[in-house]
Amino acid sequence: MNDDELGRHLGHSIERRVRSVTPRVHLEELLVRTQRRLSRQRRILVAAAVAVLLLGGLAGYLVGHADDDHRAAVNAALDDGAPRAASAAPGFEPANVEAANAEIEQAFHSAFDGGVDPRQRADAIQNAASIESLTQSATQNAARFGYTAEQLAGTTTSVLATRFIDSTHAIVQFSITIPGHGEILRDRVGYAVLVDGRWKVALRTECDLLSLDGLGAQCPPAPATASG
Amino acid sequence: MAEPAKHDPSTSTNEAEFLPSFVDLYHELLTPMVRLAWALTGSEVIAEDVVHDAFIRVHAHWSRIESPRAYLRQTVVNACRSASRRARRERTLANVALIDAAHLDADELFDALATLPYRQRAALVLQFYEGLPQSEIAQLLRCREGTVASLVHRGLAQLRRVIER
Repeated sequence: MNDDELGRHLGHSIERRVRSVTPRVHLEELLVRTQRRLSRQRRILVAAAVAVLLLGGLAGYLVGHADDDHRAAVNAALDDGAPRAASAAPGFEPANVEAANAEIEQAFHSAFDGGVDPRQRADAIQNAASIESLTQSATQNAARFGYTAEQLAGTTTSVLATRFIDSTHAIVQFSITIPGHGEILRDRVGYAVLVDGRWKVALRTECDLLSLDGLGAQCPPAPATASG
Repeated sequence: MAEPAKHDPSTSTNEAEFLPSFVDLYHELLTPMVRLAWALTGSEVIAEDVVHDAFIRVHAHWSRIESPRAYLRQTVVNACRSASRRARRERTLANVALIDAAHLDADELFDALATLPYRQRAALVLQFYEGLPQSEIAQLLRCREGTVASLVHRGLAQLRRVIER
């Protein structure tokens, strides 16, 4: 048998074997998976955009390029806990840095861990009442993105580093993990703000996370005049 | 069979509008692609997974794909190669483990095919089952046409040795 004949026999052999195949049609499942993939890609894109904005803002803050007058106007409109360049005190540390670090870490756990009492959570976030409806929307959106209540209840937060900017602001690096979805936010930069003698998660940070759900444009809802 | 109408999602505000043509493609090519993947991997189960994932990739890149059929075939061939590599890494005898046990006695040539290295197997399947010209096989396997000819020649020689044992 020459190569051509053997090849023809092989082709017939394959044909005989595979023609019995009648694959199950999983179109609905496939479309669901494609939608999940699209949603995941959107989340990654939004997260990347927010990360760029955050890093850009942080870099701008550190370099101090922002126009003073403009910055003052922006800061007056957004009392959201983000540190202001004018108030920066390089090398600043609170008197009891360990206690401050512990309080900030606890605030981030209370704000983002799963299974936390709502009042405790609200108490850990600056001006939480102003974004209550947005956080409720975000919780509803989470179900659309494939997060179950059980998974959300298992959410854990890791505070990786804290750096104090001045007597009332700190930059916090943190990560958030959701069971079944892994580390959904890694090495993220957020802020802590001292409100009435207690460190809380800055409203700005909460808004940045809400922006991952497309709710950032409404956050903070209005120029904040009071904190806590 | 006519190429399914390919809608450009960039001109549409409604994602659902372009699904029918994707659905047409799915219904038209699901079975042929699973059969190809089975021939390439030797496993019906792996074949279905591979093709399912390939369709998801096609859907994800739909707006940028000029030829969905070619893209799908390329994705399936690549995924089958990955499946073969995984099987090798897992220290299963790729040439044997990829064969569904239920079919071991069904057809000697088909089973012998599974004993070949993936590129030889792919070259033979694409030439003698799919009936593709060697220029197209070269594109799918990302090699020169001369390499395809060599893969086919060596694959047939190996096949002959296996069935003559």
